[in-house]
Amino acid sequence: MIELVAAVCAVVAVYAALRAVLEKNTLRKLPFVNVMNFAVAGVIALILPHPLTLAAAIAYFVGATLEANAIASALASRFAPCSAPSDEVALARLTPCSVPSDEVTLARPAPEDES
Amino acid sequence: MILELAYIAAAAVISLILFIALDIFWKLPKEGGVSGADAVSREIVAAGGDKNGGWMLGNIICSPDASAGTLLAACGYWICGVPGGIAAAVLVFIGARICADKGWAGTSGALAAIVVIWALSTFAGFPPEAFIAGMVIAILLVQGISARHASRILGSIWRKI
Repeated sequence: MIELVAAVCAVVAVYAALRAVLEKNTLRKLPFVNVMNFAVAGVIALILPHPLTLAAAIAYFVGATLEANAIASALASRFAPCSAPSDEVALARLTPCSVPSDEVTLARPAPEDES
Repeated sequence: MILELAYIAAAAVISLILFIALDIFWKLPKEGGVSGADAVSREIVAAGGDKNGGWMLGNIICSPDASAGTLLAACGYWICGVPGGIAAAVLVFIGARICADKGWAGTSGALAAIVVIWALSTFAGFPPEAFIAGMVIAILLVQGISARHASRILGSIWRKI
C-alpha cells in the first residue's frame, strides 16, 4: 500500500513539475508548483516514518508556500497598474510604474548658475 | 490492488469535499487574504477564470489552508497516530502565522482531518496513508488540471452558498 501511495505522489509531482516547466507565465506556474509541493511533502513523510520526517515535511511545505507568496506579491507590485495612492507608497514598494513628476525631477543646472 | 485503488479514490473524494467545505466556511473565496493571493487571482481572471475562485486558489497557493492541513494531518496520523496529527495541526498554525495568514482554515482543516481519518481508519478499515495520496489527487484536481475551469466551479459554489 505504501509503495502505491508513494507512486501516486511521485507521478503527480512529476506531472505538476512538467506542467510548471511548460507554462510560460510565472504567475500561472504557481498552481502547478503548489501541486508539486503537496506531492513532494507527501513523499517526504512516506519515505521515512519518523516524527522528525513529519517536521521536515511541514517545514518544507510552509517554506514553499512562503516562497510562492513572496514571488506572487513581488510580481504583483512590479507589474501593478499605476494606481498607487501616492508617490511615497509607490517608492516604498519600488514600483517602476510611478512616473516622476516635475517637482521631484532633478533639473540640470542652467549654464548661468554655474558661472 | 483494486481495493487499495478504491480506498485512495474514496479518500480523494472525502479530502476534496472536506477541504473545499472548510475553505468556503472560512471565506477564502471572499477576498485575497495575503498579498500574493490577489496577484494570482488577477492572473486567473486575465486567463478567463472567476475572481472568487481565483482568490480561493491564490489563498491555497500562498498560505497553508485546509488542504495543507488535511495533507499534513494525514502524514502526522500515519506516522504517530492522533498525537502526530495534533502536532501537525500546531505546526500548520505556526506556519500559517509565518505566512501572515490568520491560520484558522489550516488548523481547523488539520483537526477535522484527524477526526475523519481516525473514524474511517477505525470503523471503515481505511489505511491512513490512503489519505496522503487522496489529498494529493484532490489538490491535483483543483489546481493542476485547469485553473480557469477550477476557479469557475469554485466561484459558482461560493455564490450558491
